[in-house]
Amino acid sequence: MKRLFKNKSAMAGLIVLVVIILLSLLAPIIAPYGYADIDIPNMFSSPSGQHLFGTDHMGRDIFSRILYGGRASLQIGILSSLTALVGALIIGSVAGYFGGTTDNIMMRILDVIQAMPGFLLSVTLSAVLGNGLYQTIVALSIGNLATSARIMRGSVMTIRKSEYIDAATADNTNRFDIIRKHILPNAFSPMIVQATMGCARAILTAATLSFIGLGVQPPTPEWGAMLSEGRSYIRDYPYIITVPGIAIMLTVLALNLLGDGLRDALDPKQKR
Amino acid sequence: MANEKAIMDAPFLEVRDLVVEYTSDEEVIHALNGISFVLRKGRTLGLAGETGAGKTTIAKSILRILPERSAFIKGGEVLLEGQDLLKLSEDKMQKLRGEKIAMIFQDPMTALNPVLTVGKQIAEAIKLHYNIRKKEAKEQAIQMLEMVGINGERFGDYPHQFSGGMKQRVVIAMALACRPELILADEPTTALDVTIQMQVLDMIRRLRDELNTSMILITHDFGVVAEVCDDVAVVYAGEIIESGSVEEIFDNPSHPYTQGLFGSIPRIGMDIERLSPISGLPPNPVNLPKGCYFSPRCPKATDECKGDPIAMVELTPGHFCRCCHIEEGR
Amino acid sequence: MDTKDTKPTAQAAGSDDTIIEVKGLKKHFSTPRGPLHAVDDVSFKIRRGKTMGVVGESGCGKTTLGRMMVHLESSTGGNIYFKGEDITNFEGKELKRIRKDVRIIFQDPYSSLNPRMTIQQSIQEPLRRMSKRTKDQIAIRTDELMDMVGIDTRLRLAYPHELDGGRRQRVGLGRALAPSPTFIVCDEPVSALDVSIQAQVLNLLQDLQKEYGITYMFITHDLSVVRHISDDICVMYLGQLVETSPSKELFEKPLHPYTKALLSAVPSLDIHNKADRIMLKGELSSPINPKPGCRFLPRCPYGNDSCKQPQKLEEILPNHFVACSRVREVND
Repeated sequence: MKRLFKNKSAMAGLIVLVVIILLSLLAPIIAPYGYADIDIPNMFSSPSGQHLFGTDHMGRDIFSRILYGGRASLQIGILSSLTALVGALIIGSVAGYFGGTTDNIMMRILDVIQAMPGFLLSVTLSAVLGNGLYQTIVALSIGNLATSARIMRGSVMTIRKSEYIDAATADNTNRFDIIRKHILPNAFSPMIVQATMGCARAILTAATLSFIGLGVQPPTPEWGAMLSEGRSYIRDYPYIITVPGIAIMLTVLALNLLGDGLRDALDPKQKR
Repeated sequence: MANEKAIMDAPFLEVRDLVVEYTSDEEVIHALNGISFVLRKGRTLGLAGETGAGKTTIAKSILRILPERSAFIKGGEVLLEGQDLLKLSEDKMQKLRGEKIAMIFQDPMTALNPVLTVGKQIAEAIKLHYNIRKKEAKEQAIQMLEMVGINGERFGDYPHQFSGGMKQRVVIAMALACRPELILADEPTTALDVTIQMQVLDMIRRLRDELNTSMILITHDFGVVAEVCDDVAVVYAGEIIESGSVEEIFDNPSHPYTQGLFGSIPRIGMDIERLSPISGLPPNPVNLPKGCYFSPRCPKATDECKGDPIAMVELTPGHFCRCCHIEEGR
Repeated sequence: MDTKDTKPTAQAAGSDDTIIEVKGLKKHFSTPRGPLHAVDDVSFKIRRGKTMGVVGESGCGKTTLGRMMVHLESSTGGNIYFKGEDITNFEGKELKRIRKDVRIIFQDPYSSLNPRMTIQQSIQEPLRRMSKRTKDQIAIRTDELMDMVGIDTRLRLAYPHELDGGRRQRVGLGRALAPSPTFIVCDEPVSALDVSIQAQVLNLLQDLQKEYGITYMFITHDLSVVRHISDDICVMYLGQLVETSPSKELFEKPLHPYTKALLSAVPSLDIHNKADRIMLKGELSSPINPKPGCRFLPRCPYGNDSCKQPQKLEEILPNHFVACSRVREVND
């Protein structure tokens, strides 16, 4: 943990992330306007004292929409990667530790899921499940889960061969305790990194889905949907599209930096 | 006339005051701290010592295959027949590698390319240095295989089809393919079973004698030194602390570290109640002690040992020792 | 093949002294190409408080044998007797009882300790799992164990990667000793260590044996080490036990052709007495679906047709057993 604090870029990422999360959480308090408050007379106004980031084509305050939009994007990102993480930990350790038929069955199911390219899978699932926040979270979890479970399984299979696992068996440790106490802690750190990267990917994918009309749609604010809406006005009123774009970029960058830092910090074998 | 004699007497390989550092995580690792030794033509020198002493670094420095960004040759000379290898251009070094100097690495598993047949790998080594046709290279490769005791018909087999011992023979065949004058063998038999090791060492000895190759053999096993080497240099913390002929060093180990090593080794022929290990651990190469690097562990250490660097002393002709408390014999 | 028949068990002196007896022990692994005979029909006895060295080259089955003793592998056939009890197929409560008394230390100092547990936690694990001590009692015992194996107790909270190979092996030893076992299987415990550290650990093992009367099965490929530390030795080749005798005698009078070749292959430090080397031809044959009879036959300088029959362990000299039908001709 101390090592994480020493890592400047990871800390920068963490701080940015925390700020973004806080702002989103406090949206109802901070936002000067409602996210759906239409104000046609004031549409397309430039950033000013009244409207920090200006207004969009319906006169809605972009700043408020960014704040509320963050809630959707972050929820999608965090919940889908958490779900995928828990699922991957369970599936990966069971498949990797027990091997044999259990492993075979699980891997064939994952094979089916992974047979489709990631983005295409998300699009298909999203279309099937329909638009909406929770539907999108489910759609994004599944693809992520498949990849993470594979990675977990690989780690588990390697760790299982270590002599300290034999030592635990010789200590009369039962199988579930071996998984819980010896395998999981050692397989965990690559998974944390997977999770942060997965979160970043999910946010991007959600944005893309909204952009093409799936996932989360207006009036629910979501950064990707905002990008989609601002498309037509990119030349005359660029702030409508650039502001959500920058928000996405910052969040994803922060998550990536944090993920990298976590991976380095959690590696017990690094000298310092 | 005098010139000719001088050339004849000149050592085949002479290393002078070689200093090498590695950098890692902003720390400087003092890998080699003034290595000097001499190898005469046709002789085999054993570089003996424990892990981390710097033996492999010496070999890699001679061949100039140290990792580019983390290793620095800070000083010294490596004179091969009078020519300083450290000053040669990379092009010229490439010509020498494989042709004049060849290296055998420790792990036969990773020294061979798994997707090429063994015959091809040997032939490739030959073609790199000699401008001959594919057919001729193949013939020579088959010859090499036979020389190391592998049926020439196995030219088209892949590495995974060979056992550990045979893989190592292939590696040796590759190294000898261009009839190099100097071979650097880094723990060539450590990964092998004892009976296979005997076969491979025997083969190395035979080929070396046939081709009159000079050899530097790196090992931690004094038994191997006794089997194959003419001379031996004991390496500790990047320095040579004792050197001489095998007979001299085995009969009269003079440096406390050498004596300690001999005392730690169980021997088949002798009935020892209890081994006499060397206490403590080797020094951290980032932070070497002042004066003699072995002094913290040495039973004979005095204040004199912890001041200035200790110089090499010639005990008997050819037997050198870096210690200020010399005690002849055991 | 069944071995309930009349094969004599290799016996070390004083059968009331026997703490471990192995009879006809077998381990076959199934592979796509057929059964792999890792351990085949091995029988011997180990004396209480003594060290039985098990020596052989790759593929001889010594590691598998060691793992079978501590139930890390099941047996395909045969029996293991510990203090007179047949522990071969123990499970559940009985197994738990045995596991306190029969322990193991491993070869690789880098993978035998959980990198995320402090050495204190690693040493305590067996105590927490197999005994009913309180937390305080466990802490005291842990310090005791660290002292026994020569690790500074201030290193309690250190992680394995902070220690060198020698210290890590000591931690492994501390862990093995935790429940006060009477028998420890040592699987190549010093092979990965530098020579000077090896000597420290070997001395430690000897000291502990003297003080606590622990019995060792010491598995290694290094003949000098086995000579030094063992009282009796078993020589294995491709899963078969070819020769067993008291340690000194094995080296002075090796009777089996493989043992002779093995001993002659060890590089000698004695530069003035170069003995003749027995050069073996060829390589190890495959342990998968092996033919009956002596597995050393393809490489043996003395082999003939009689060697294709199953070989029996015969007591040629007192307590010196050899599995070779031609042993007398070979040694004339």
